[in-house]
Amino acid sequence: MRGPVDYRPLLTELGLTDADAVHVLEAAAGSHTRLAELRRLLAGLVPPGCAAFALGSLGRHESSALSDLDLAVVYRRGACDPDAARSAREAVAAVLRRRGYDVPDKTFHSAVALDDLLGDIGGRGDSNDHLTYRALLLTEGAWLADAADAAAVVDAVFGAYAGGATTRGRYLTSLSNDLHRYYRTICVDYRFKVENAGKHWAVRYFKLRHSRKLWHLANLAVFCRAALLPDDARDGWLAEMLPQPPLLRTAEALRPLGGLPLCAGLVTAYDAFLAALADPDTRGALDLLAYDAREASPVFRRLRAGAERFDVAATAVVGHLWQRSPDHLVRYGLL
Amino acid sequence: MIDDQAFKNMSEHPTQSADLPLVAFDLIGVLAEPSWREIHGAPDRERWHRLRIGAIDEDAFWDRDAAAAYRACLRLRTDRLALVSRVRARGHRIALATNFASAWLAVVRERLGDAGLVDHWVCSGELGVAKPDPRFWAHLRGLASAVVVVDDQRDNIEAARVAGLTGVWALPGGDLEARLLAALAPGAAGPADRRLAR
Repeated sequence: MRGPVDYRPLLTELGLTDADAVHVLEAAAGSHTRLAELRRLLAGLVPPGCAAFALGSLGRHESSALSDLDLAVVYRRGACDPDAARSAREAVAAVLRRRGYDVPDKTFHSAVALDDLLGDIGGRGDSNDHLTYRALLLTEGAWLADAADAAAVVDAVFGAYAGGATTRGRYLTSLSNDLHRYYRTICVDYRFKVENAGKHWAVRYFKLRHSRKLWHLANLAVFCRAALLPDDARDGWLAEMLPQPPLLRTAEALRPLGGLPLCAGLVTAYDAFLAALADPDTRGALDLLAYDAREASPVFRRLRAGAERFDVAATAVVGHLWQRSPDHLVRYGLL
Repeated sequence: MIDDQAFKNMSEHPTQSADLPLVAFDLIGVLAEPSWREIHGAPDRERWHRLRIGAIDEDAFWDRDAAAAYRACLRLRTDRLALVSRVRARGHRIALATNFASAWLAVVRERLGDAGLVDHWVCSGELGVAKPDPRFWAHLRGLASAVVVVDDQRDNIEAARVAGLTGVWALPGGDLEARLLAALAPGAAGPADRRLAR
């Protein structure tokens, strides 16, 4: 995304107004402002051959002031010394924290070599972390420092799938399978984090039912649409669509399939979700909510009702894909 | 100054042939990043349209801090410059054909150093017209009898085709080199890249 994400043309097409998507619009505008400011701040802070990315909600242009910032630093061996990349990651994280951003040291705690992300896809040395990097760099990686190396990194990740001489698949299923795999991984990761790692459940639960699900739905729609394109047009279209925010890529996929109006329900349900995540009181209530007490919580019941509306809208989209791209949906989305 | 080993030894300039197609590479999105819009909190496209054809100066476009920040952010893609050097090594002349402020060109020239990669600099800020204006393509056509345009904007590829040039879409993540070499193969010049599905 070169500039601010502009949802207004889509809203107009859907017969919606700004009032129907206040928080979608605010998140897009706020995310661009944050990214622009951070890029200026971080200019020159990473060495050549190294790039810093914001993944997660900021990378999707769906962040609020309460969002944390998933910082990923990727470097190319031979072009950047690993120690320099590690130091750069620490320096970038320090700058971000001084600006008030919550930069978790979890999956993306250290600089990672591009070769390591791409050298063992699907193999024994592949890891959930590497899968996470690949999936998110392709679908929600916004550069923070060194845009040129960042673009080269993303190209290389896409190329690792597209360039597979034997395994890429006519429909680039080597990539769609990895995106599926990532989605299922984060679904199971919820179980681990809550049951074993002592993490709180509520915000994660609603993210699974909204942002994670929309991410998966968008990929499903995009690949179903791509399957209907001429073979020599498919990769380019996919590469262009995957970095779009999930609502936009769902719309881009559904428009030529005659299903664009179905996006209206997704947008309004998602707007309610973004509103909740941007509200300190709601987040605070969720952070304190005991699982056994959930039914007594108005916040929980409201968000669950929103999640159910989102499910209805998402189910309608899948139903449309079933009608318009059944072969791909069944053979590659399900089987 | 570029420092990638792949084209550190560029001092051995091949002899360029006027008989081979000129290859015109776009800058932002192809050879360099980022776009000014990515570091501007509230991009003003109207003002940009004036800056890019030299109708206003940079200080009428944005403030000094932004100007300095953009220069600090502007980087060449070493992987793509390596591609340019390979194409040039085949004897093709290289043009840099960009919608860009003339004030920013010095940064690009400085970053390229003495690599000698670019034979023709075609910058909208200096030319006074921007892609996809037909006059921009006419200027390129004046440089060679056959021109292959490499651009990341589909509209530019379409406009180049209409103007009689060959277009190769620098789609993200794509096999740009293979498609460019296919377009440069004898007898291949003609249609624009067919991968422009919408």
